[in-house]
Amino acid sequence: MTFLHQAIEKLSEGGKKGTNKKVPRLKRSRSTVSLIKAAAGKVGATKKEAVQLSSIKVKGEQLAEVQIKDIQEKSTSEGSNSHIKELSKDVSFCESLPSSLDTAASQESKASMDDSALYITASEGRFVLTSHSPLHAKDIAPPVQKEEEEEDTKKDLPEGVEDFDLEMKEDPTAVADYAHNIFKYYQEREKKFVIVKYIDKQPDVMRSMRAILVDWMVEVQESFELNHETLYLGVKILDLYLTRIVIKRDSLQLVGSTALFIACKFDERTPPYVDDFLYICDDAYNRKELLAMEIKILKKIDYDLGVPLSYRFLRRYARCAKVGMEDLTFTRYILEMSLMDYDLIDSSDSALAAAALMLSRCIKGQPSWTPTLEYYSGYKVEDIYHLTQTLHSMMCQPPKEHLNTIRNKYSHKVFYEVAKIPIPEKLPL
Amino acid sequence: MQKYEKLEKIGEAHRLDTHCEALVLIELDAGVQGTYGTVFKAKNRETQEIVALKRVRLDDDDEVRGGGGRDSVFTPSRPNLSFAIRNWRTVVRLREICLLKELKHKNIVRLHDVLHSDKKLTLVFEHCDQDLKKYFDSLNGEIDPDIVKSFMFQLLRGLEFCHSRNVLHRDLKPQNLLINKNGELKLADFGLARAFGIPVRCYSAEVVTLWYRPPDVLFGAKLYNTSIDMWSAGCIFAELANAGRPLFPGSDVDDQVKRIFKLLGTPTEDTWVGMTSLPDYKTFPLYQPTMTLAQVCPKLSSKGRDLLQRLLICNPSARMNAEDAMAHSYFADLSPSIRNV
Repeated sequence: MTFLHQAIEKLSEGGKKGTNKKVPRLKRSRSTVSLIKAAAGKVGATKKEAVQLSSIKVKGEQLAEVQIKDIQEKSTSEGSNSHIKELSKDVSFCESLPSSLDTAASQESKASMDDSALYITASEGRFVLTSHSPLHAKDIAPPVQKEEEEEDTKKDLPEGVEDFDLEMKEDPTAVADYAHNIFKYYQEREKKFVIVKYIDKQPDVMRSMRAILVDWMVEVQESFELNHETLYLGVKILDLYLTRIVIKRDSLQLVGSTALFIACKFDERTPPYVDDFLYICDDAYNRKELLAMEIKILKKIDYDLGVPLSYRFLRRYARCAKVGMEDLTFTRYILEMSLMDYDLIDSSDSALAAAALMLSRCIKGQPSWTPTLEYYSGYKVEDIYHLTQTLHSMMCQPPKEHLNTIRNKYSHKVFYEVAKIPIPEKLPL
Repeated sequence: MQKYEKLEKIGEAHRLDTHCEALVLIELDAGVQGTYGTVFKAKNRETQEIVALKRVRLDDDDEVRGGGGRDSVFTPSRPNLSFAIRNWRTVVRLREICLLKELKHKNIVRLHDVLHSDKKLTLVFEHCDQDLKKYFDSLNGEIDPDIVKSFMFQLLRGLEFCHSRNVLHRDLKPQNLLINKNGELKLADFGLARAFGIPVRCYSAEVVTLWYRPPDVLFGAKLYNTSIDMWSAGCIFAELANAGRPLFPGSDVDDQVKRIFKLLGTPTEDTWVGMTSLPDYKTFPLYQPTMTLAQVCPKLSSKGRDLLQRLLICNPSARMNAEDAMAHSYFADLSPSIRNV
C-alpha cells in the first residue's frame, strides 16, 4: 500500500475499515505530469494552464457490484428518517480515486478573472439610472400606484435595518426589483434539496475519500477558472447522487468530475469540453463512461439543477451587510472549507452561509450579528450558534497535508492571504 | 416509444443559428447551422393526452471522436467547429430541461417528461395548437384588442414567474410563444435561457433574435438583467397590437439600432449613462422621433401606448419590470377570468 492509501485508511474514522476483503491497491501515477504538459495547448481556448493532477489508480480487481433495487431502508443513525429508495448500481470499469497533488502552477491562474474582481466592478455602478428617457414626456402618464407599495415594503423593515434593495435600485447587477423575492424563493426551495447523510449506506466510500474528492474538485475549479457557484453546485450534485446511489470507490472520481461537468454546463459561459474533463481525470475514464454517467446522474437527480447554494446566500448577506472584500474572502474561505466536511452536508445552505459569516466576524472581532444580517438572512444568533461552533472546530483542526488545495488557494495574495489568519481556540461568542 | 404514439411531425427544433454563448462559435458558418431535432405531435397511450415530443439525437457526441477529439487537430486559436457546436448543443439541451423542470407555471410550457435511450433524448412537452407567429399569419391584419391585452398579460405573468425565480429567457419572440384553443399563452423554448446570480455576472451578448434584441445588447452589453426580456416583451406587444407586423424588422445590427433610434430618438449619455462605453457602441445620428407611438400602433389605447413606452426604453435601468407592467392601468379592465386563472 502506498502512502496516500494509508493516509486515507488512517483518516477514516473507524467502522469502515475492512468492510471489503479485497482492498484495492492504490498507486500514485507520477508519469502523467509530462504527458499533461505536452498536451497543455489542447485544453480548450480559455484555459490558461493545464491541470497538474495525478490520480490514485486502483489497480487490479474490478469489484463486483451488487444490484440492490427498490430497497427502502430507514436510517438508524443520526435519528433521521432517511430513505434511500433505490440503491441500484451498474458495474463500472473506471479505476481511480482522486488525489490532491502539490500544484503550484494552478495557484497562479486565478487573479483577474475571479468573481471577486467582478464583485467590485459590478457594485461600482457604471450604469446609472436616469429618469430621462428619449421619449416624449407628454406620452408618459403619471406612475401607477407606486407610492403606496413602496411605503408598504418600508413598513416591513425592522429598526436599524437598511433597505439594501432600495439603495441598489439603480445598479442593474443587483436586480433589486427581484432580489428579495428570489432569496425568499431560494430559502423555500432549499428544503427540496436537503441531503441525507449517506455514508452508512455506502460500504465502499469513506468520508475521507469524499474530502479528497472535494479537494480535487476545488483544484479543477481553479485550473479551469470556473465560477465558485459551479464548484458548489458540483459538490451538491455529487452529494445528491450519493444519497441515491451506492457506488464503488473506483467510480468516485468519475461521479465527482461528471458532477462538475454538469454544473459547468448549467452555469459557465464557456463550459469546458468533455475532453477537458477526461484529461483532468488523467484519462482514467473514457468518453462513453463520462457521458453515460452524465445521463445517469441527471436522471437520478431528476434534472433539477437549480439548487440554492450556500455561496449565493453568502454573497447576498455580505452585500446587504456591506461586508468588505477582504472579510468576505475570509468568509468564503471558511465556507469553502465546509464543502470538504462530510458532517456538514445535511446543513441548510442558507444557515451555513450565515454561520460562516458569523464565525468570520467573530474571529475578526466585529459585532457577530446585526439586525441587518438577521433581517436579510432570516436567522437569529441562536439559530446559527451551534453551526458556527461546528465551523469553528472545523477551522481549528490542524491542516492535512493531502487536503491543502483550499488552504493554498486562500493563502494567495489575490485572496488576501486569508488562510493565514490565525483561528483563536476560543470564540468570543 | 411504447408510451407515446406518434401522430405527425409538426416542426423542427431550431437552435444554434445566431445564438452561441461559447465565443468559439463566432466562426460559425452557414454550413453547420440548422436544426437540432424534430418535433412530433403524439398521444400518450395510457392517458390519451396529446403531447409534443422534441427529439434530440445523442449519438452526435460520439461522432466527435472523428471530428474533434483530443487526437485530432484542436488548437485554442482555431477550435474544431463541429466539436464546439456539439458541446454547445449539449449545454442548450441541458439548460432547457433543467430550467423547465423548475419552472412550473400556467404561462410556461410544461415539460412532462424526459425520456432517453442510448441514442435519443426525447422531451415530452404539453401540446399547444400553434405559436404566436402562426396565429398572426391567420389573422389577416385584424386582432381583437381584448386578445392583445390577454396575451400581453399572460406573457408578462410568465415572464414575472421566470424573473422572480432567477431565470432569464433571452429569446422571446412570437415563434417561442405558444397558444392553445383556450386562449392561453405559454413561454416556450428555453434553450437560450439561463439562471442568473445576484449580483449578475457578464453573460453572452449573442442572445435574443435580432428584431427583439434590446439596444444595450445590440451594443454588445454583457452585463444585463431581467430588463433584457422586457424589451422583447415590448416589441411583441407592439407586434400584437398591429396584428403581427413586427416593430423593428432590422436586417443587421446597424439597421436594427437605426430603426429603434429613429422611432424613439437617439439616446445620449444624458438619457442613458454608460451607453457610450458599451463594447460595441457606435455613434448614430441624433435622430429626433418623427413618429409617435400613436402613429406606430394606431389601434392601441392610450394606456396601452403608455405601457409600451415604458417597456421600449433604450436605457435598460429605466425599463419597466414585469411585475410593474402587470400592475399598469392598461390591464385595469382585464377580464378576471384571465387574471385569476
